[in-house]
Parts: sequence; structure tokens; C-alpha cells
Amino acid sequence: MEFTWLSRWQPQILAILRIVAGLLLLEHATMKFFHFPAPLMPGPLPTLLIVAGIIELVTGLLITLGLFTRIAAFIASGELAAAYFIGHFPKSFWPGINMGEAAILYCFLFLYIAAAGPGAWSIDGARSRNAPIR
Amino acid sequence: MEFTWMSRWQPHLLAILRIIVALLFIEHALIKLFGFPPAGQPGLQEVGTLLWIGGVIELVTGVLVLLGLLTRTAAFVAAGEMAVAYFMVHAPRGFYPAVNMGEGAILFCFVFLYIAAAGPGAWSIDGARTRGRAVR
Repeated sequence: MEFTWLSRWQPQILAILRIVAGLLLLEHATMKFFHFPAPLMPGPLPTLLIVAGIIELVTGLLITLGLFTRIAAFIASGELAAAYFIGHFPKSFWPGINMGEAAILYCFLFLYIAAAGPGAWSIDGARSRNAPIR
Repeated sequence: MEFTWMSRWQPHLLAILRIIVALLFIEHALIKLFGFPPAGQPGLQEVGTLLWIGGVIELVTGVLVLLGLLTRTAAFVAAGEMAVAYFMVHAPRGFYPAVNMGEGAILFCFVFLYIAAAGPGAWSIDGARTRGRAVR
């Protein structure tokens, strides 16, 4: 009945989840600014999407590296909530139709990371381990 | 520099994440098994097809994760199903998730894998059962 053999790896799996989500968020920024791996839209970006792309670039990098993880994840969570209600929600109530499913997943995942911290393998973790020694 | 005021809510935020992810997962099952919401992709599936079986897995594990009943096992199965879905459906279309439309599948996969390791958080039947046992 008990399924606990994975629980000893919880910090590592949280780190993997954090890095995967951070890289996927970065991909949205690179699509906006570098048209990589594909352009988000033809023509120049509206100002709002430039701001969104900057937030995604900075917080995506910080979350991936695990530097200022909680603050970066909190800001990213807020950005994705705004993105959902500005970009997706007007199209339809249902996330399966308004294409906002990923935005919802990011939003609540990053909110959780803001509370839970970076898990294993983070710059934050390396810094706080060093702090008591000094 | 420290941003820790939210950490006391970690179990509750994990439960909210779990419930949201499960509801979104159930939506995929409803699209495949019942054609609801009507315009959802990939639409209603024939009984017995691979996508229909995927829908059944999504419905059962989605409801279990939502309720927090046998959460870890259900989440582990769901994570495996999403990994299969990614490599069968999305990865052949392109390496980058932005191109192959598999971003949702990746996020589901790793969130469920984490829930399999971390457990249900607050507000779960698993938690209520464990507390009940401790009282006895």
C-alpha cells in the first residue's frame, strides 16, 4: 500500500522539476527575442510581450540556476497568472480550448517553488551551506 | 534577501498544485472519453484505441490525485503515461517543446513525478487515513 521508495529523492526530483520548468520558461523568452526555436508571431512584438519576455528570461535563468529561487519563482508565478487572464482566459473558459493549460501549470508550480525553495543542486543551497562556515 | 514568508504554507500550496494539476488532467480524460469540452483536442476517441486507453488512465489517476487517495502510486502512473505520450506523440514532431506542442506533457510528467515523491500535501484522503490510524 505504501509507495514511499521515491520519497528519499524528493529534493533531487524537486530540483529536476525546477530545472525543467525553468528551461521551458526560458524557451518562451527565446521565442520572443531570438525567434528560437521558432518565432512566437510574425512582425514586431507588442510592448506587453516584450515586458513578459524580459520577466521570463530573467526569472527563467534564476529558477534554472536556483539563484534567488523563491523570489524569482514568485514573480514568474505572477507573470503567468497575468498572462493567463490577459492572453488565454478571454478565448474560452476551458483551458483545453484557450491554450492556457501550460500557463496554469507554470503559475501554480512556481507558486509552490516560491514556498518550497529550490530543492537540491542550487546556487541558493550552495550559498547557505557556506554561510554558517564563514 | 530571504523570502520565506510563504514556506509555512508549503503543504497547502502543494495541495493546491496537486488539485489544479489533477483537474487539468481530468479535462484531458473528459475530452477523449466524453468529448467535453466540445472543441477540445484530440476530441472524442473510439473505445479501445490507444488514446482512449490514455483517457482512462488520465481519468482514474486524475481523480485519485485530485482526492489525494493512493496519491503517490496514482501520480507515478500518471507521470509514466505522460512520458509515453510525450515520446509517442510529441517528440517525433520536433525536438523543441515549443514546436512539438509537448510542453504540457512535460510539465504534467515532472509535476506528477514530484508528487509521487513528495506525497499529497494538505487536504488529502491519504492524510486523513494516516491521521485516523495514529489515533487508533
